[in-house]
Amino acid sequence: MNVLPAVIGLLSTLFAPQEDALLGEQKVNMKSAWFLSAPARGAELRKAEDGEEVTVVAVEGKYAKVRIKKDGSTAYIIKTALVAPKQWQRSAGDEKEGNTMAAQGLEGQKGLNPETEKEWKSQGGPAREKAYADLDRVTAMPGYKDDRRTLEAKLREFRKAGKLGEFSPVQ
Amino acid sequence: MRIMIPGLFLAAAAGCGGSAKLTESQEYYMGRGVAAMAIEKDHLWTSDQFEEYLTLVGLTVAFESDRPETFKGYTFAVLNTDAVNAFAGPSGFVFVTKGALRQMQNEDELAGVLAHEIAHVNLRHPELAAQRASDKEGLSEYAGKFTGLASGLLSLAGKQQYADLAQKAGPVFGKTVTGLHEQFANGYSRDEEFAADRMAVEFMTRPGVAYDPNSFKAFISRLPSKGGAWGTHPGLEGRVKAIEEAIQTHGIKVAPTDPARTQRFLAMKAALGQ
Repeated sequence: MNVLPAVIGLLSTLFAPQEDALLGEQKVNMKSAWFLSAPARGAELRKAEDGEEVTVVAVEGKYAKVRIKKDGSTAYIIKTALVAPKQWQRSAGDEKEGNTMAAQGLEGQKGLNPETEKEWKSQGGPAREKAYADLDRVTAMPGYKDDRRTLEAKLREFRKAGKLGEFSPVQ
Repeated sequence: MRIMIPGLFLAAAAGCGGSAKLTESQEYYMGRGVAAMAIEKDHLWTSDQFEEYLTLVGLTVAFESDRPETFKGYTFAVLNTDAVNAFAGPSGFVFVTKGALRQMQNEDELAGVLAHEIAHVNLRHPELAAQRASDKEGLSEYAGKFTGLASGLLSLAGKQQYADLAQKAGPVFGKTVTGLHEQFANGYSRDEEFAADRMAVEFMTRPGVAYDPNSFKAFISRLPSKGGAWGTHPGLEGRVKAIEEAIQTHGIKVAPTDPARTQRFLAMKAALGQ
């Protein structure tokens, strides 16, 4: 019996591109991800919501082309922002009181959650409180960081002034 | 402490999921812990203008990398210490010290250092270390209890129980992030550093970026072989050679460092003082 086709079939299954696994229903698993009109530097359509449901219809490099369940529109999103619905875990910080415990229970499997942070922070006294306050300040810098459209415009201006990217003399 | 990661485990933890993998939000809270520890120890050097500049250089590279987004995005900051160092914590918290910035001569050198740290984030080196540390320090001990709570009724008693667990987990969490902070500040394993160097060359020379990787090599070449955390990174001579090879392998057409970039870097650097 010629086993070659079976072996090839098995190998193709084993080494099938991971893109295939991404096709179909997924959930957004980030707080900092955007729906774009095109891969990479496409215009920002809107910020994706953590837990938002999408269907991946194609994968283009680092980006997934998705149909957004909420309104049926099509957009691109960085594919690392997506997880299978059963793997998605809600963020405790966003949950209302009624759901907080469940969320923290899921999120806190390694003790890595807002409650543990709060507890550890309180044990460190004023120095640690200040460290976290400084961290919160610098995390929000620059002020337009969460405004994707402004950020992209600033980055473009920055590349242009420094002859980087599309403005580089070497393409 | 040096850490060695077999390739298979790296691949499994980085890309294939599995119950042991930290979620993006878990990585984020671990990253915050490590970042807060670094700030508590060395303090931030703050300047709105410099932080904006640093972020623009960092995001220019990060957005073209293979992991342009993390749970709440990348954060770039300056630590107020003369030690020559840079490190990345879980979820993309990237720090560079004043000491390292003073050693740099142009923006392309800065971009190279940030690209190296972004490469660690892309390769998920901080997360893997975090996962090992949390297991080692016993945070997983609380796993079953937390999970049990999640499936239980959300009664007042349950809330109290959760509060008790959080109180117990707090010191363990602290021990974990303290250990991680030391580990990151002292550098990763030789293999991980080499891998991050090679990837840094790739990221900084992608068409959307186009920094000069020779500047990164020049910066590494100038570091003292001993002294400073980067000086304790493994085999600086070997790393310079590896960077050279990476430049050749990619067959990159490189535009030399542009004077406009150098000028804006030096203007920013002046704010650091001596």
